[in-house]
Amino acid sequence: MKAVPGVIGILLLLPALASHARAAEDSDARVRALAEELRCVVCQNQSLLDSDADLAKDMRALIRERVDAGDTDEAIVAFLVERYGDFILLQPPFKPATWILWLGPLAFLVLALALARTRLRRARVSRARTDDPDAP
Amino acid sequence: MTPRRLLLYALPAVAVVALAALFAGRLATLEDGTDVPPSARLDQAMPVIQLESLHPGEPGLDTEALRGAPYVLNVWAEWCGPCKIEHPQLLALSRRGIAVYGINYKDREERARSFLAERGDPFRAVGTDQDGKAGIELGIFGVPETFVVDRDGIIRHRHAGPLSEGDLERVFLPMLAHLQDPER
Repeated sequence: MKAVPGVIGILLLLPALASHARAAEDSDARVRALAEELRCVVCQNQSLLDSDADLAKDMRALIRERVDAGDTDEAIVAFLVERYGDFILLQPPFKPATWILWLGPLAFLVLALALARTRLRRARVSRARTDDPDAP
Repeated sequence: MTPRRLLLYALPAVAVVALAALFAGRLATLEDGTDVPPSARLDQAMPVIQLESLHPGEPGLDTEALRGAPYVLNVWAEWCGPCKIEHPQLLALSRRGIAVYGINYKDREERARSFLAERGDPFRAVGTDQDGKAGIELGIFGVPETFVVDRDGIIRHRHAGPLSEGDLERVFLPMLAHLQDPER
C-alpha cells in the first residue's frame, strides 16, 4: 500500500489546486473585461479583446502582467490613458471637452419637446377660436 | 412667413452646419495623411526608457542620459516598409549634426543590423525593443514614429508615419534650430 500516502497527498492538494484555478479564472475574466472596454489603436473600431493586431496582443499581455502583479482595474486603465489618451477608451469619459457629446442629444430632446408643446398649445388655441361662433 | 418663424425653421440647418464645422475642426487636428490622433505624450516628459543596444557591445539607449540637449528619437523596424522610405530623411538629419537616436521595434536583430549596414546608420545609439514595451511606453500606434525632444526632456513633437523631405524642411529643422538656440 505504498500508493496510499501519495493519494492522500494529492487529495490534500486538491483544494489548493482548485483555488489556484479559480484565481486564474478570475484574472482571466478581469483581463477580458478590461480588454473589452479598451480600443485597439491599430484597428480603431475593434476592442483590444477582439483584435488580432500585434499591438493589441502586446497590450493584452501587458494588462495580464499588471493584473497578475495585483494592480487595480483603474490603475491599469489610467496607465494606458497616460500613454494613448482618452482615445483608447471605447466609452468616452464625461468631462468639459465631451459635454456636447453626452448632453447634446438630451439638449435636442428638450428643445424638441419645448417646441412641440408651444405648437400644440397654439393649435389648440386656434381651434378653440374657430369653434367659438362669437369669435371674430 | 414671419421672420421669427423663418428663424425657427433655419435653426436645424444652422445647428447642422455648426456641428459639421466643429467635427471638421477636430478632424483637422489629426496628422496629415494618418488617422492617428495627437499623441497623449505631447508636451509631457519623455518616459524613462532603457534598452540594450542593437549593436552588441555598444552602449544602449537611456533617455535619462539624453537630457541637456535636444534630440530626435525614431521608432523603426526592418520589416516596416515606410521605414525604408523615410530612412534617407533620418540620414539627412544626422548629416546636419542633429542627434538622432533609434528604437528598433520588435525586429529580428540580425536583419535590423544589415538594414543599417546597407542603408547607412543615422543613430548615435539604437536600443532594441524586443517585446514592444518601450513602444507602448511612448504611446506609438505603429512604426515608424518620430519624436522631437527638447533639452529638458519634454516631447515637443510626434510624427506618425514616414518622414518626408517636406516634413524636415517645414517642421523638424525649424523646430530643432529653435530648440538648440531659443534666442534665435
